[in-house]
Amino acid sequence: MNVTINGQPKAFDAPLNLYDVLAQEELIGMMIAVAHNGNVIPKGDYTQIFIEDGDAIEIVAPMQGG
Amino acid sequence: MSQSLSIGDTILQSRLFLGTAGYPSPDALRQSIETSNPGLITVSLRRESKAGKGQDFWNILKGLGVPVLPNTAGCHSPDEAITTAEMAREIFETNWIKLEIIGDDYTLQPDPYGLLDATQKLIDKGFEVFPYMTDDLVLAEKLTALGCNILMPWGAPIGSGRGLNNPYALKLLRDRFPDKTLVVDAGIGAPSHAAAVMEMGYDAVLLNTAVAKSGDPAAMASAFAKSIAAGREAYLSGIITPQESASASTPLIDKPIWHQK
Repeated sequence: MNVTINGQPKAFDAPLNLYDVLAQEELIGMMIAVAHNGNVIPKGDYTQIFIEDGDAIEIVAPMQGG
Repeated sequence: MSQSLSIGDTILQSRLFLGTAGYPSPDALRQSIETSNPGLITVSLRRESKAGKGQDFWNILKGLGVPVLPNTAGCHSPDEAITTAEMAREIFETNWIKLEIIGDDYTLQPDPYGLLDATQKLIDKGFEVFPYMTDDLVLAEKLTALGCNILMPWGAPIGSGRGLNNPYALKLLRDRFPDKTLVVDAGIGAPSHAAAVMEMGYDAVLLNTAVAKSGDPAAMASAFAKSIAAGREAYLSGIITPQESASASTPLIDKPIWHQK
């Protein structure tokens, strides 16, 4: 299935939850926040969010800012 | 005299709020924070990838022990800003958010209508909103009516280094909101600008470009820290009222008359 991660399409094998996506992106344990289809997901809930074809995931991290 | 500032239950040890963007190197950023000991530092959020650029940046900051104020820089709508604020809360485990919604790309002037809309929604969600705003009195009244404890009017457009475009409006805000935490955010160029803000009785100054783009960021950060401390001490000490006429400072009583005939 196809999932959009930070605006870029990417193919994954189903079934899949949000934790699986982050693991494949090598971001587990990183200082990040994640939104799934526009909803911000608490860290403890990643395994509860099941990913479907066409879903959009945004992953952000701290960056320089004024 | 105390230079600390309380925001909610947090006591900040300095009234310099320092941005973390645009430094010539990570070392320059770290040294600037170390030489100036800011009360807080501002950070942003950007998309992360396997490269982990955000993790490298965070590794610089996390050991310094300075409170973090996340921002919504680059947002042009309330919805964008609210999602960014929620993601910032998730990452930094703070309900503080510098709310920045840009309304004009040339001046980077904040959008007052979007600001009010987003402020209401974020306060309802439990955020302590630090609104980046123009120096408009009515906007300030509406933001405080929504529950803002802090107001952050601009001195001049972001990164312009112009200083205080409208000291009258800034002083009016101070006079009208004596119990709110007021911070001039943006437009500062020189330490004298920051000192002038503090001499008006403002609670803090937020700046970034004036340090990051200076010839020696670490030294400039130190200069700003000193100017802000000096301005605060001067304000607390009671600055004299300007007069139209001269008034001799040296007493004339018992002055010897050398040329008496």
